Amino acid sequence: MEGLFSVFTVELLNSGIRLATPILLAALGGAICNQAGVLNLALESKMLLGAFVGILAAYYLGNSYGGLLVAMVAGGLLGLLFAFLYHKYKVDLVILAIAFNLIIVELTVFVMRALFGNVGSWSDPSIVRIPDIEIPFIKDIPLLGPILSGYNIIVYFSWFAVIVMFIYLYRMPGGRHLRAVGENKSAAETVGINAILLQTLALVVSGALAALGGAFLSIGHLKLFTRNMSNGRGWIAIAAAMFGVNHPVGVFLASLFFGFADAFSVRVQNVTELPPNLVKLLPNVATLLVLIIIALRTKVALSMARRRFRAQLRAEEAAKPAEEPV
Amino acid sequence: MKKNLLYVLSILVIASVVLTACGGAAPATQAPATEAAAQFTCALITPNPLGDRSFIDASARGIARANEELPVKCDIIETNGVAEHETALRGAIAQDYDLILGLAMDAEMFVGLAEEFPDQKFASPSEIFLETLPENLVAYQIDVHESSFLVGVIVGSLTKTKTVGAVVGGDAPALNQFYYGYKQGVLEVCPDCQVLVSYLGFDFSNPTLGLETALGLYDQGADIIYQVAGRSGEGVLEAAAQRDLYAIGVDSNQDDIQPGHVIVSSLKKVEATTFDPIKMVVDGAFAGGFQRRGMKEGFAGLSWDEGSTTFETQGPADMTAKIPEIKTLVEEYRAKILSGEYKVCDAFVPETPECVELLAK
Repeated sequence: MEGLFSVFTVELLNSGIRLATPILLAALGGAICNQAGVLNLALESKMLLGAFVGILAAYYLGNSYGGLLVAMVAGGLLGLLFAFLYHKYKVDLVILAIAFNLIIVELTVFVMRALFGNVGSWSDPSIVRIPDIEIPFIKDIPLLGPILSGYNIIVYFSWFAVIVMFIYLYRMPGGRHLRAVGENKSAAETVGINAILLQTLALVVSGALAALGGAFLSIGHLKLFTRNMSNGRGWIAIAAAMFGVNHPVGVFLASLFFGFADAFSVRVQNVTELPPNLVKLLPNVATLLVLIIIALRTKVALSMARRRFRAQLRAEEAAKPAEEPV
Repeated sequence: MKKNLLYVLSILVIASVVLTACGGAAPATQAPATEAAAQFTCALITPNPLGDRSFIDASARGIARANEELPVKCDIIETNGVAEHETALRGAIAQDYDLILGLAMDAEMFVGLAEEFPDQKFASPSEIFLETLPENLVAYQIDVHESSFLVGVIVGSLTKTKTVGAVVGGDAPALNQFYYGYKQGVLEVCPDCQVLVSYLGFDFSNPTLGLETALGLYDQGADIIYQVAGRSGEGVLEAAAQRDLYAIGVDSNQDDIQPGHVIVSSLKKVEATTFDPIKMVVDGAFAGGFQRRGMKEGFAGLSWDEGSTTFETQGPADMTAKIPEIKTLVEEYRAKILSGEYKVCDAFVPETPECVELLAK
């Protein structure tokens, strides 16, 4: 167990994938909203709601899978409420998100106290954590098997969601319409696309995915709920959606990056002489670097576009005198 | 349309403010034991909401005990984190409490308030790291290195892999006091053992991080982990249950959170440092300044001392069989430490030779 490289083990990858899953689910939700042109800054509160409702439903139903479904429905309903307030009353999405982020963190604590007395974290021995599943055949593949197998159903579902979302957005007419709405809502409406329906769909799906990510924290990873359990992961998910340019595969890679950065900083402490406070900063530094890269890339893309446009103009001007004599 | 928007927004804003008030700062007033008029009153300001199953709850137990045993009426004022501390303290000062206890408040801010209101008595049940204190502020510090040493003795005697771990909330003397003592204890009974440590960067309310950190240490070969990380530590206890391995609780008795996987808890009795200043004021013996308490005064100890037998009855047979003999060993060391014959390394004075040697390992 000597040297920096001893931390690069299969367990590190396992840990990174587990830490990435809640971020991935919420980030997919954020990405589909961005694609549909509805900014969703309320991922944090939707995750927290999912974490809370998930463990509560698992307790009352006596079934953790039931808890996951109820959490997704609750997140979806919150998304629907968002869509309703946005489309019916034109409430500003940013203000709405701030209001919900504030209200959910206190509401969960309030309900928890009302139901279970004076507690800041809650758990019950009867709650069963979502079991880990070994996939037959795949788990026997050398090297890849232990990396791909041995997680619970939420992790596999998150991978599945990446594929489904990719197919929907880039290979199906519905997804093309959704992206058109995000690109230019009025233009999409003039060609008969139901923009309101598609934006509502995006908000509902996003709510359900973020809530599932939250439920992963409370019943998929641990089996307890604590105040403000999402702990900023919803915000990291927003960064991951941006980093992944709102493309499902990009979002997948971005979330894995954040998950691995976290897992790495946890494990590297025992094999390096670096001060632990510095090591714990690594994921935050990574996030900052990523945001800078995004900003630079946007800037470069813009200047490239401008240069192309100028080149085109020049070409046209050069072509003009040639035309005149005719 | 515009009106509707305002309507919806105002409802949301009002509801969030109301719920914040209900969820966070609801003062939990306990019934006074005696109904005497002109009663002595005090208030405890908590750094975070109750229910951490650790030191905030322990402090609340001290208030409950004071209400029961002393002719006082004490309230608990909860806050939602550091942004609300000063407001809560000033609110309490305005309400004319005889004594105001601030748990884990920012030292500069707390001392500043004490200087601003020289007639108000203040107490801090947890440590304040400053050179001097004003006359009207008493600050307690519980030394935990000796009790953590005993934990280390237990862990060093029980480990099978000869590798043990510690998950510590942050790299600071108050937290390292737990870790250094523990490490010394482990190496005392098991010189060829390896003690791994992971710090959480002062993230005390992130059990997910605690869980992954503990799994990381278990993957590196540890079989017992000492958690010193508040609510993040609950993730460590959960990791022990998931891997069917073992952990050590901290602050309060946590043996029952994951029965059979938590071997023992090291107690830091914040209930006693909460109760003590109240009693001082009631007895008319209040004096400002620093107060240090430790295992000797019964302010730090083990859950076993208080009769916790959860692990003995629910742990695996091969480990529980060793416990009577370990208990004898622990008592031997306890006697040696209390008589001054054996010195445990203290993270507040880490430059002593034995401490330097210990840290180099």
